Amino acid sequence: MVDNSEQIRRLIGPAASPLRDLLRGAKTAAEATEESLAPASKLLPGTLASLFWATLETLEASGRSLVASPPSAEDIRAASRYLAGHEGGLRTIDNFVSVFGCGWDRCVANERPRQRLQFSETIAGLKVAALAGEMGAGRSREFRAARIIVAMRKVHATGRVPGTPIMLTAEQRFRANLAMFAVALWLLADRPERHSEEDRILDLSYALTNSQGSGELFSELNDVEAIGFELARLRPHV
Amino acid sequence: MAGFPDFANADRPVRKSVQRLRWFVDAFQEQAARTTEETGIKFEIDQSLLAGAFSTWLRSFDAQKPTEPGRRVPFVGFAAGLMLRSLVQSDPATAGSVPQTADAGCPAEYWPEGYLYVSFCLNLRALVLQQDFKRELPAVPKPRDARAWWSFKENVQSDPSLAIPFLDLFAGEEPDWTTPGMFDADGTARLEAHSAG
Repeated sequence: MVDNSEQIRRLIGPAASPLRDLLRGAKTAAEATEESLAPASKLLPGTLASLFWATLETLEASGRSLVASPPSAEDIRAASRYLAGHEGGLRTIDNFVSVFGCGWDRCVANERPRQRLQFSETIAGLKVAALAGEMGAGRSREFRAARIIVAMRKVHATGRVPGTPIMLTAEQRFRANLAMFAVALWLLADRPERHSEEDRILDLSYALTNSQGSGELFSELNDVEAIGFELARLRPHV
Repeated sequence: MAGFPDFANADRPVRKSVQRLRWFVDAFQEQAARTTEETGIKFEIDQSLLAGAFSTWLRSFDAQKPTEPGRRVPFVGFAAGLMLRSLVQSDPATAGSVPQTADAGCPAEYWPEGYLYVSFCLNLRALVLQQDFKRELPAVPKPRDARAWWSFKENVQSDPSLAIPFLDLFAGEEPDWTTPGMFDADGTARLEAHSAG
């Protein structure tokens, strides 16, 4: 299949979070549909069944190619700077949530068993923009990061249906929160010398987070001070 | 025993570098590759388990890290023992089959994963002492004693903290079998005496 992720990105532009959310949703919906309708599809006539699967595959691949398309080195640096305290306009915030979403998608995609979870850039971006100026001047970068991920968690920027708390098991909530913490840790860590190592640093951040066993912290993800403390403790060790 | 990767040119002391997961993983994977070259045994490394070993080690390390500068050198050997304990507990490596050409009697043949963990910790210990503290270490004989390896494997499976004195034993130091999980002043005396000799 042709990789059209760059074309899709150019088409969507840098400030179209809702459209990117839509493609993410298409990918997740296609995956879920594929699973749930697999038995029924056997009843379709051959040609119709082929068309059915081809359509699903296209939907899934389009969403996947966008989600899997890695952000550039400058995008990641800008998102890292934003998390560390450099304010910016809406484009900066849009870039931040886009990079954050890509990182979050990668963490969750590696989960076994697979979780049908999504990150909404639109919901996250709106909340992060609303937080601007309320970050607590003079506080550490880890505290700022903690404020942001707690705020995103409170508006349910991640979930099976982002924006709502519904249909999430305790395990799914835990995995979604853990991935948010891991992405914050990745963005706070020292940037690697080579851009190609970013995925690896993200994976290590996720593995390090996963190995903490901080069940209480990640099941709720609401204690800004405790999260900030943990980020500060772990950041030098990524 | 396979040598350690040459990370001496890093822009920070080895004892600081090893506290970063990215360095730790690189070093461990490099050690695995070198041990494969030496023994012909291939290893699969589970990165999640390796990160778990690192986390466990870091917590133990932070909990017992001495504040007095004079105790840093003796703590190096103890910290390496803590790392061996974490690796044995997490067991992130899985060895493939032992080739028929393997050196008969080599401990790697008896317990490949344990041999890898011990190699890593001994080399790391030596690197920190040499690079960061400029200590000239006496040549350590290859730990080939089959009885010691048999005892090592049996004992650490029932009490992982015994990995700490076993690493001292493999390093040619005097082990503390009584309170293996505790860093104490006796350790200071042992290593200082050895280094001076």
